[in-house]
Amino acid sequence: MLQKFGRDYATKSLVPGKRVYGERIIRKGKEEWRVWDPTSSKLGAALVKGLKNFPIKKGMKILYLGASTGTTVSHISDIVEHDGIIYAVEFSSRSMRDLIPLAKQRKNIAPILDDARLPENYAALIEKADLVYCDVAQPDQSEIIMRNAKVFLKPQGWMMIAIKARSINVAKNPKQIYSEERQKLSKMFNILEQIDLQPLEKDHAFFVGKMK
Amino acid sequence: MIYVSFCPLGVFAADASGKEVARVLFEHGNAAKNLRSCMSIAVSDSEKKLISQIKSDKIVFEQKKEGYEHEFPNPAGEYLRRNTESIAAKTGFASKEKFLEFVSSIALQRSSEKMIESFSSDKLVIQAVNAVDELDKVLNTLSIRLREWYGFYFPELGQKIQDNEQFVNYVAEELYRKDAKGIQVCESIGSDVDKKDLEEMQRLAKSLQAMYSERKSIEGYIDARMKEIMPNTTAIIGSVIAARLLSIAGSLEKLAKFPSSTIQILGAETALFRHLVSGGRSPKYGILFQTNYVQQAPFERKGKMARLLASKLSMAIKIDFYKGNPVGAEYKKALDAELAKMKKGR
Repeated sequence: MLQKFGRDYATKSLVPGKRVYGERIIRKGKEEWRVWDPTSSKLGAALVKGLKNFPIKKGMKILYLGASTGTTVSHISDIVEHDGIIYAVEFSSRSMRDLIPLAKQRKNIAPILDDARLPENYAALIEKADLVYCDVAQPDQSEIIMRNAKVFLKPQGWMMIAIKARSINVAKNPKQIYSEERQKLSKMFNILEQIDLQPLEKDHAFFVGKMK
Repeated sequence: MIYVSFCPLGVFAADASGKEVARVLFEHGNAAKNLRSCMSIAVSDSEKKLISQIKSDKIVFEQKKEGYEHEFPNPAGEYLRRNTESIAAKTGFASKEKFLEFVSSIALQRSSEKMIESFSSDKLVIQAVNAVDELDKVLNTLSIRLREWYGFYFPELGQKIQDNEQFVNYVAEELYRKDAKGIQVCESIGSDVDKKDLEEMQRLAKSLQAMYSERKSIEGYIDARMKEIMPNTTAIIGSVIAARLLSIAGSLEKLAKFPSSTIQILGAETALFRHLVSGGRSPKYGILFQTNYVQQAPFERKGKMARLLASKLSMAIKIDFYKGNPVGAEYKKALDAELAKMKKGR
């Protein structure tokens, strides 16, 4: 469950008593709410910057590419609860070292140590998803999300992507990169929203769309 | 044509329209093990069992399989990705929640196994290289602190002994000022301090002494380990610089996949990005600047030497990674000859 507390967003902790990344905790009676730090999660930053389309809901199946150590994943895990699942794909075994203990605590996270460029490697573990989330910081990140969406996304399913301009081309103007990536993604998705994450994340844009 | 794919529940076959024609379910407790054998290129037992039930001779798998065609995505996989949850409900999973928990536990097992497999000893060396760098930083900072501190008592010593390690050794071994290296104690402008003050300084010096010896020991370890991991590269540029290349790349596999032009400027990332962003001149060398080859080459040939060295290194690194025949000595000879020519001005 997601809720606003003053200026901050917070999710109701699925595993009370456990912090994931040193986030602030708000207690409300017996409930425990984990504050979503916008400086360490791009989705958190997008929310603070006024994201209007936030499709993640209880019970959703989510394919998350570039799960890293699970900061954002942990909040999504709070929202989808136990009748949803997050397939968390991460290629770095160093990040996996932190993600695995998190998945042991939260049964709705399925960690997958594999290259998001090669969906055939992990297809056997995954069902069709309601949403594909991509934060991989690779030059071909738009192609990566499309390749995965083609196989794993339900018709009319959602997509969210954090575009990191600097990992696409350091020399180009970020604004130009955003519009180029937007064009690429528009082949497959209707882009509903584009948010610049400045100043919370430098040279990052966040897109939300729906499968055509 | 019959298509085959698998999921955590078992192996399934479907026709081109995505209608299920056969299935072999995994035994409940063995799902992770069965899944793993289906993921390998060899045909697993469950798959053999499924094939024996299929009447068609044209079987297409979704993943690469020895002796069979494969197509990704295929109708059997599509069928499974749409229906695994409902199949699960029919085959004994009481609730959606239980099934999802089962899937994530399988994924968790698989990832843990892969993590253990992905370990390689080059990662240990990289940590050791970083430890040396950090020790250097700490030693430098604390040695300067000790100089300031001991300077109240014996300022002449700090001026006389420029080398940090020698300075630390002196303080660690001599509690009181002593005539040394042409300094007369009686002429010292230092103030007298209590024994307990001196003892505290000496304790710090002794810790630093231990850190200096630890640094040497790690260097020996890196040297020995690098000769095992990258024998050819180490033969050409020595273990220290080879280890630094490895540390910048992140792993031997990544380093082996770099082209020689990347190896040439490894360690000069700031200059490279400056070049890319604002069009300054491109860097000619990164970490390779520290090698004897580039150091000894005449000024106007340093760039050329770095390029030659990088090209030989990129081959040597690939041979190290894929464990080929030793070439280090041969490449070193070729580079030495090239350097000699350059020095003669040809």
